[in-house]
Amino acid sequence: MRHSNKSKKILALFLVLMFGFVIFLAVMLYTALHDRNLPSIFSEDTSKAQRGSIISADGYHIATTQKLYKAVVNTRNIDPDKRELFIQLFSIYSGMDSAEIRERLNTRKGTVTLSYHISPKEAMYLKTLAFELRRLGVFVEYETSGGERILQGLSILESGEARQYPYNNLLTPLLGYPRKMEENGYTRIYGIKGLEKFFDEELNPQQNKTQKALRDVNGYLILNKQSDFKRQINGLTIKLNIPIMLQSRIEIITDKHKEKLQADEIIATVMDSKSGKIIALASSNRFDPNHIRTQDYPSLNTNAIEYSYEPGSVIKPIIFSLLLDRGLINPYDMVNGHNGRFTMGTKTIVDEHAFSMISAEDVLVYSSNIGIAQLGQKLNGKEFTEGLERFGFTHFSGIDLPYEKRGSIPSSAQLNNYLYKAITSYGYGMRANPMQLVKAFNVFNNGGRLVNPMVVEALYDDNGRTIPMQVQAPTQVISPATAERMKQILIKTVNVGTGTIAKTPGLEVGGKTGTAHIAKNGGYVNSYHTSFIGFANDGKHSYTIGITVINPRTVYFASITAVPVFKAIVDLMVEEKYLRPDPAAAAAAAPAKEAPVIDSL
Amino acid sequence: MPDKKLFLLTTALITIGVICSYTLTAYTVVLFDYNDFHFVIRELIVAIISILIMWTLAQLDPDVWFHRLGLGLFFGGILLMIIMPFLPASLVSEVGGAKRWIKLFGFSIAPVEYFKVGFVYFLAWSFSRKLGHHGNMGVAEEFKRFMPYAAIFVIIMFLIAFMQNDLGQVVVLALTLAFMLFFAGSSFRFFMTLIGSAVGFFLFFILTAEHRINRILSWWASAQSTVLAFFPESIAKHLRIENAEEPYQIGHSLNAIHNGSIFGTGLGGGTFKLGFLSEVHTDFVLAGIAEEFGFIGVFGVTMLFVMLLHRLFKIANRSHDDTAYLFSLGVGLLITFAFIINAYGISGLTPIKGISVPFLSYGGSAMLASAIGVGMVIMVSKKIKYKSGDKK
Repeated sequence: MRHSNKSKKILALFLVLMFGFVIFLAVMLYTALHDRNLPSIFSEDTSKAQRGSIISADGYHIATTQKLYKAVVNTRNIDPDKRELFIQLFSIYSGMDSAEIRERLNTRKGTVTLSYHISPKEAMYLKTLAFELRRLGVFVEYETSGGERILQGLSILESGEARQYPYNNLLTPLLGYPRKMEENGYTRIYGIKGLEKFFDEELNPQQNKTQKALRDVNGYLILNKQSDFKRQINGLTIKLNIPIMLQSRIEIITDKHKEKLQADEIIATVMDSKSGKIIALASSNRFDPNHIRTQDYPSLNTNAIEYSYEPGSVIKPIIFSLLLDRGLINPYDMVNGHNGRFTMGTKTIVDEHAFSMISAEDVLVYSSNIGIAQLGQKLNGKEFTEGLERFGFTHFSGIDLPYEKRGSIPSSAQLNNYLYKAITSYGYGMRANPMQLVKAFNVFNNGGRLVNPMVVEALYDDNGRTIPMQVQAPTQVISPATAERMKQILIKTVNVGTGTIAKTPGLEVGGKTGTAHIAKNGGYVNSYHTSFIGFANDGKHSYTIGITVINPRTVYFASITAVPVFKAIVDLMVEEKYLRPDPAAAAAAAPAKEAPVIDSL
Repeated sequence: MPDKKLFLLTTALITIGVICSYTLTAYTVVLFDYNDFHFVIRELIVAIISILIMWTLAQLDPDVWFHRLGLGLFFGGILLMIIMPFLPASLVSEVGGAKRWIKLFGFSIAPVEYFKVGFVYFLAWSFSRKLGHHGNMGVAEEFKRFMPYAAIFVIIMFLIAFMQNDLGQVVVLALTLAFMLFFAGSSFRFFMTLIGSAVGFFLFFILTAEHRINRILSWWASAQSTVLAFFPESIAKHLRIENAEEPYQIGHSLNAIHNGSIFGTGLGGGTFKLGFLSEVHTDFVLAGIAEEFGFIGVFGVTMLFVMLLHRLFKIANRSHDDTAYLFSLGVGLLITFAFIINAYGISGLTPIKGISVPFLSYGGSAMLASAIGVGMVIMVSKKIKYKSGDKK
């Protein structure tokens, strides 16, 4: 054996190598346990939830939200040799002109935003591009003056959301409008008026999507069971009771009549009598919420609720029904018409049409101020105020819109005074908004029950689950018999009284006119609010329809200002199959039209 | 009796290698749009072949096959390395100007891996015939009898370091050569002279080029916190470079080790393997293991290598045939030096060399060649006659 101490040498070598292994393990243990600043191994991806849409009863998206993205790139990270490749590819993916991209890149050295208005679809393409560009090695590291090495690629970030109203001024001002707010570089939308305001909380995004997870070197998330995931919950979708096929045509009607009458505004409301659903709420004064101009400012209010005025004669049926319900009068009682001129204390009341003696019923049919002023005396002050309040006056109508003006009525004490009773009986000295009037009149067409008007049918979440609106149970205001009696009187008013223009063969149409002076600077001037609140029913459907004309200039009586608007809407509803006239009755009554009877003051 | 333990240890390491080739390539397969199983399928096939080859070699008669295989690998390897630069591009894979792989029937073969085993055999065979005990012949005399090997080594260095730009392999071969020389009978003095002149040459090599100095400095930036932790502060403060930045790869290698801590993130749970460490399934496989299996995993793997080395040295010690003795020793050194150079590299102790970890790093030729080396040791282990009372 030549190698005398072979075993010893091998053992020595083995120990030396063992020492090498031990050093390695010691260093590994030291590195594993010793403090060390690791780069973040987590990455977070957030996706902002969106504001909900507003859709019409017939399924049109009236207000929608689109998310916008921006494309940001650090020019220092673009390999100069591949700059042109970047520009060409970005142009193809984004649809931007390559010259524009080149110009943007040249604006400054460093972080440049190439576009702020990238649609979600384009953003998706561009995110793919960002990945490809990384793979193609378009981005290179650069060193800052502080010696930091930075590598950023193309970033596609959410820049905000934009509220869009594809039908421009449709459904305004009821729809309202939003405001943009910048929050941490992200543009958010808040409702300021109308439905956008009333349902702001419901429409607002509920929960942003966030994913927190381990990442790879490019910041892509590694989703596994440990990753933290919050799903995106968008704002609720609001579905209206209003179909835009009807709404838009009623808006056209209000526009036409506004022009013809040279009025300040015409407001039309159509309500389903049984449910209280508002199926149209139109104003002649609208605006485009996409672009609000200075001259639109007066139109921003939803005057159907934000405008209260002295309603005039449309109050008469309310007073009359209170009297009837309490058995204080009989429709066939005779009332002295005082030949159109009657002085009560210091106040002289005039009627447009003079009567000597007139039945209580005809006081309404021909709208006699003198008649109702006398009948109204039968109620005491408390009965008067309570009665009006039961019909909803001075209360919020309960409609799902903000900033409602509740109006006012004289106090019970005041209404113990005969003069207050007289004036309030024909609708002066009190204020109401058009919606309150429609709600009150609806009682007559709904068996004496008061229901709240509702613009919104229901809310829907992302999963299509329905969140129904809270509907107030109807309250019985007057007995069904009184309501039916009132309905017949109002039908008579249309058939032979002040509302004859509204007559529609084959349908049950009733209503009451009101023409009221506008008070200005402490006195009444020669401008008017004219109203017609009525109903139109076929065998199956019943609708309460309210028209308010603010300051018509060419003519002023309600019977030739508000009533024609009502009639046009009824005709439209027949055309749109909301109402189906009884064919036999329609054919029989085809010719003969009576001359309009002029309303009294 | 063939050495069963050696076979099992190697098989265990090969198995770990296959697992690594799956979990550590998670990012690479996405980046290059490969199939999820692109790497693991290939590695698995090679692993199965490697294990079968070890098995087969263990069955062969060492008196016939040991010599044939050894010289076959040596001359075959050297021949392939000589002709490789002249092969058409369709047959040779070129990476960064270095031609290291021959493409054949859809497989890439790295001749240097097979050559290393052949080289160890050649040295073992030749030393056992030509070299005896130095018998106090003097350094000059020893140098004279070493000259032919030095000449061969220079040719090899030229082929590998310059033609293939693979300095790491040369370092492993040089160290193996030096140690085998010593164990073949050279004097300790001569051994130290060789090591000393190698270190001198190495320093000269580094100091003559600025980019090599920078590389050393950048290595020191990452190594200092670890190394200086073992020195007293009075010495450490003179050696510390302030505000130095770690090289990217080493930095992330250390991040991975730290992220794994003691118990690791768990199989598949690593983060720094996802593109931070670009070579995680090859050169940084130990960092990948450290991240997913923690210090415990690294310790286990290191223990497997220690046990492997122990087996190889035991066989060397027990071998009565000098060629088998030197060959077993050489294979052990080959595997251990590769492991240690890589391990010190990824832990920031020495400047990184592009050398892979035997059995664990992804790469078919390296695994196959190492398996052949071990297989040949198992083959010769059959001839050991254990005395009664010897532990097996």
